[in-house]
Amino acid sequence: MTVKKSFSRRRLIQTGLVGGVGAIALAACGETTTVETTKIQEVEVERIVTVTEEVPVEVIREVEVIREVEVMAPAAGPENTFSIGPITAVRMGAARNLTPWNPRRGGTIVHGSPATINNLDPLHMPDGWSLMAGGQPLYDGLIAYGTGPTLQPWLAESWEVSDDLMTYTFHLRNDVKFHDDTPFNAEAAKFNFDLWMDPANTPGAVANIAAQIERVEAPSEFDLVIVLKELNVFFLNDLVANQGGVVFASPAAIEKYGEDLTRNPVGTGPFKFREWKENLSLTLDRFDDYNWGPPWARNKGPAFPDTFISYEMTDVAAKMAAFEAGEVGFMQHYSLAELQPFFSDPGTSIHLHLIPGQPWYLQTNASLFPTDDVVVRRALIHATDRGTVTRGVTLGFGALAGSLLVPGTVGYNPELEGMYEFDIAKANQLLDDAGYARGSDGFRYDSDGNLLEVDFPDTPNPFSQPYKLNIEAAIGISVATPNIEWGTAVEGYLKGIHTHKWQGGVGMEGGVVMNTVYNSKSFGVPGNRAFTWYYDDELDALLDAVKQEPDITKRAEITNKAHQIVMDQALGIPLVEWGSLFPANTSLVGGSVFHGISQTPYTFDLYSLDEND
Amino acid sequence: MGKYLIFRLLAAIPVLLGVLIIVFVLLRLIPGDPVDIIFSGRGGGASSARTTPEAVEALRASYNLDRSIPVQFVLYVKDVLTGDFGRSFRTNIQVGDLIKELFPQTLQLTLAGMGVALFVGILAGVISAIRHHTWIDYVGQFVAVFGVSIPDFFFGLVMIFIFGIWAGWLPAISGDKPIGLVMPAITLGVSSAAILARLTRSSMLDVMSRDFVRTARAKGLVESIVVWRHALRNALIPVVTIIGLQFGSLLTGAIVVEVVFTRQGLGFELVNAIVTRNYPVVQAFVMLASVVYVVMNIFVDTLYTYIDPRVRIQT
Repeated sequence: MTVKKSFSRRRLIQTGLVGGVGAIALAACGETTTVETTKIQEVEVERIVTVTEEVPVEVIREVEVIREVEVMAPAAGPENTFSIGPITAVRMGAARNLTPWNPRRGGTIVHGSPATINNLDPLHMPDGWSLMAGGQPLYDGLIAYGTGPTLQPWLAESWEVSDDLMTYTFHLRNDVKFHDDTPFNAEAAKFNFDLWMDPANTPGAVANIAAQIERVEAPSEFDLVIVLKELNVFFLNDLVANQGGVVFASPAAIEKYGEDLTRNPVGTGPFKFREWKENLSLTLDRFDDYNWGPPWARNKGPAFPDTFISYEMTDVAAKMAAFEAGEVGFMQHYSLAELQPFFSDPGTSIHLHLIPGQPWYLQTNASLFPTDDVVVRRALIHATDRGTVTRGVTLGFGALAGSLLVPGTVGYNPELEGMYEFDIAKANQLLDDAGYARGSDGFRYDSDGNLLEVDFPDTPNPFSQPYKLNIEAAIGISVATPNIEWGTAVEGYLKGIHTHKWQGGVGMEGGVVMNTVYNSKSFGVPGNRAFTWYYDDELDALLDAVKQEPDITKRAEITNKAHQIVMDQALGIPLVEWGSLFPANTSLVGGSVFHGISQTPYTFDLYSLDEND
Repeated sequence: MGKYLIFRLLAAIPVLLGVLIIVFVLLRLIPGDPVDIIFSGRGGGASSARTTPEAVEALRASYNLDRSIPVQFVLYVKDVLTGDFGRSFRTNIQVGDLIKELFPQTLQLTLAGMGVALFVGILAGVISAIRHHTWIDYVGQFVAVFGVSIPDFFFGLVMIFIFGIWAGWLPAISGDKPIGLVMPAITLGVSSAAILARLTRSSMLDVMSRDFVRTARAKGLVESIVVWRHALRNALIPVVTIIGLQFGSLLTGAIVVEVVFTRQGLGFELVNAIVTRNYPVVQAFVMLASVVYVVMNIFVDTLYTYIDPRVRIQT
């Protein structure tokens, strides 16, 4: 996940931990290691009982049923909206209504962002968080995922790909202009691409896109041609990746402001820049000339509210207080536990946006003792009580994950879900059979007398402590949870000195996500989130091949094969399918919200209902 | 006096240089690399192109981080002498601009907190002293212990809950509205006010029993003049020392308060910069804090001469 929110996440987690650790601690405290199997099972039972009290158990079952009907190449549909406890969960980027559609012009919408804005210059945006934290309405993308896996037009009306899959021709809209009144055309787009590709610049997230491109041409005013260096069927996917996709700044503004564009961003989006008070707020005004909304937006004309304000609220308690005081209309959030006070409030609507890609899971390092033994890795998955470990965040309402891809991702295979059922007895049996006997202290040792100990740094994160309680009691493998500050932990992960890392992954294409995480070429390089250190020629070959396979069904098959190897080798412990929570105060904000596959909500169809405006 | 000030300011230069060297070197010695952290925040999973080692090295070189620490230091000092503090690794904003934008906000909050602390602290201390061993004194002392003990972030949240949510009188998001300064200033000032109240009280009790107070009373001066002009002025000498120190702690206390009240300021930026190893920002902010401390110390030392004419500066 991203480092930029590490400070905010720390705050978030502090509260979340209480619930998660508390639940397990209550059940597991004062216990000796000889009867822990029973104890953990009791925890599991207690969890189900609690859930039953709050929502009918059928709701949870319903989630499971939906999982089973998913197909490998997914399609969007009404079945992608369902309830998880008190919230409405939305999968595959389905739009959902906050209020009945009755748009109102004027007023202000206030957004509480969980992250800081890092940069508003498309060249230097280090990640998607700057867009997510409020910068999205400034810019338009070239293309996007709509309400399904099919790519949709945006600034590009249509596009063609050459037979060799190396040349992409985009036909741009002819009615678009930047906020500074200069036209958006092929030259302007080329200007941006050339800037990203210029070796003299050190681009941010667009670096990965720029690195794929041989050259960009503008043969006519509205035709943009991109020629790739090497075959990559995911190129279009990459253009919409990174939470907001490639976005374009006005060439005139780039020349005028240079490195200071981040403080004077000029895009083509429905809102134009007014001011950015660093670490406090971003204020945007409606761009009255806007008339090129994407096809999935209901409102394709100028935005409804006069003003859009996004506060950078990294303190969870402060954000909750501002939301409760009615000073914030909608928020982005992760911990359901912290939203509990609003469950019974009819004026608050809470949606969970589930993003394709990987679930929340623990990566397991296959190069360190004792997780270099596949038996230990498998036993760890069998023994992990996913519901309890994640309860501190999800309150037990998440859809538990059984594999390392989530439904709705290309290459997802529902059959893999049942590969490692929660079975502590089986986990113990595996370890016993492999000769890892328990010592007098209840922990397991190998035949040379080495303690079986894994480590899961608490950076902090909401899972380290519950996982420790769970695993130590269940199978007698010691879990170290050193308190390591984030920057230090990053260095440790890149050197491969930690056993577990908590992680998630965003991506419509399973092949994309798996490639960065499990391809051995990714190990040791920051930004690839690849910490398994598991070398396998067959896996590498599959992951290399998937980038060259134009047929989505075949791609899904190849991805599935790679996924099977990863699952068979137990390179990760699946926890829960979770995403971005979107609590809204429906007396302040109305309309409909849509995320696409990113964590960034698009604001096209939101309008202000604030009476005080 | 002028000579004294020049001497003190010159003496501050090696102090500041020492601070800079320590910060500069320590930052680079602690584990965690800024470029690793920047790339790790990029969410590479959404893009099919793997991050290459070359891209990582290119960014490292652009920040001069591929050079040795002494070379980096020389390059940095050269830039600083021309007024260039570098650009933030995170936002690419000039650190000088960042300070210009954020420091006044933090200073405003610190001064407002100091104002609350001085007004409440000294007033409460004096009243407690002249009414000592009455219920007013006991209540005052109880509140003071409470004020010293309560953490800023908790007190801040309680304030937001009462005045922002229940009563709705004050905004929960302070932002940069003038009205938004009220709760942060009280939150920030409360613990210093408590410390000052306790100190002023004991100092006043000590002074009130001195001979010159008896003399003043014997002269037939009104009690208020005895207390406020004669006694307080003498009682303030130890208090002023503490005020200087408290100013420093308020400046750092502002970090928490700014985050709780969603206010702009150096606080969050500095914490985030340390977490992400944003070297230019940490270096500049620590230097700024050092300058404030040094200046505040000089200011307090010269203030003595005005409060107590017996203190004369010798250079």
